Amino acid sequence: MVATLKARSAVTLLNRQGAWAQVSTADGRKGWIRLLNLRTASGQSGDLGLGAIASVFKTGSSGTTVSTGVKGLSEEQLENAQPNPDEVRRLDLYKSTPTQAKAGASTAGLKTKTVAYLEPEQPQ
Amino acid sequence: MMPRILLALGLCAAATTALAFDFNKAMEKLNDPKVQKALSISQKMAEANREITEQEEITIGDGVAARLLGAAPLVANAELQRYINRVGLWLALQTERPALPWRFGVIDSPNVNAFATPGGTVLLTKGLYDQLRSEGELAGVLAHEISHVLQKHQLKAIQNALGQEWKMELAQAVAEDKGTKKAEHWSRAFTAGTELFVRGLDKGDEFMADRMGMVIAARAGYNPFDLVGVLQTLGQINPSDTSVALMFKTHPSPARRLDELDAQLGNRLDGYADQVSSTRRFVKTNGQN
Repeated sequence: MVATLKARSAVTLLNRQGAWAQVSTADGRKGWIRLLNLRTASGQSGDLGLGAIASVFKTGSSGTTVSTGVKGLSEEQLENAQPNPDEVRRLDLYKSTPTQAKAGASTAGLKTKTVAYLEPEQPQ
Repeated sequence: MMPRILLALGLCAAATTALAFDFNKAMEKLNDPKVQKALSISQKMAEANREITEQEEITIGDGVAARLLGAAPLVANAELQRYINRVGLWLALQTERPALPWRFGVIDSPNVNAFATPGGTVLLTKGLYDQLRSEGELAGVLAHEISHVLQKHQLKAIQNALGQEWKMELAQAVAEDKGTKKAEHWSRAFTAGTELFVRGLDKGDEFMADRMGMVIAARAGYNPFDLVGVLQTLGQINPSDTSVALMFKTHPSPARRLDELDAQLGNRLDGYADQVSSTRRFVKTNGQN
């Protein structure tokens, strides 16, 4: 153990590895914490989560993106959208077959595992 | 004796002719649209209580997808579209509904968001896609959306919005064979589905999709914690940024979602954390963007 960090300490995220994140503290100490104990911040203090046991951290501000006034998929655009069936047909055009999906996964080195859902009640 | 037998046969033939005549007349009557028009009360009850069929689920999903694509069309990059379909279907094949007509697409919008429609169409925005660092993160997002389809979260919400009469009225329109009336009824479902993207699902549905999504990613051979990475990226975006306005309105905050995962997961997925995150095909596909 390198250090015990208080909840909501600000740290810099250096690296991610599996379920862990390598972070450095303001005084320059480095260590690994569970990825799920790390919360990012957008610069607004009210945005931080308040986990009772989870320590809450902030990363550096390097990842903060700001873009204002973008035209995109807004509420109004969705509500006023006219159906575009031609684009639905294009979706069909790019559809994958199970054979293609399996071949791609094999090349990517993906191997299936048996993992049960975490839900108390099983999904139907 | 002979004449009596002949007489009997003659009577029989006459009776058969009469029966056949009545039967045809009855059939004619049954086929008359005017007679078919009204569903009986018991038929109505049965209609209201029946489950939406898988074909109807797919029809609703197609209609909602058509509206969504009307707001933002697919990105004109065939390589990218084929790539995410391979990743998406590979994930879906590890689930309890592998045979749905799964389709995936990246839509041309700088907003950060992802959508699933009933029946297995999953669309994510270019704005979100560009935030992803690896195929493992893409898998996390797609598996979250796949979970909504598996659990019929959108379908159930659409049904709730329409009420039980919708199924009855649709059956009525089908019985009356009125094209415009049928189209009108489907259209109501598509509108309800589109409104859902503006209103959002229950918070509980979102938390569940995060948990299930991590499990599905792990089944497919990915590092399930890559979804955590995506949520941390989303947490870095200023909530007042217009590109995340709709997503933040319709989803619990990324910090809340991470809290929930932290509380529910324990260390149950730690054994899969060293699975695949980065792939060459992700890098290759993005090089062509």
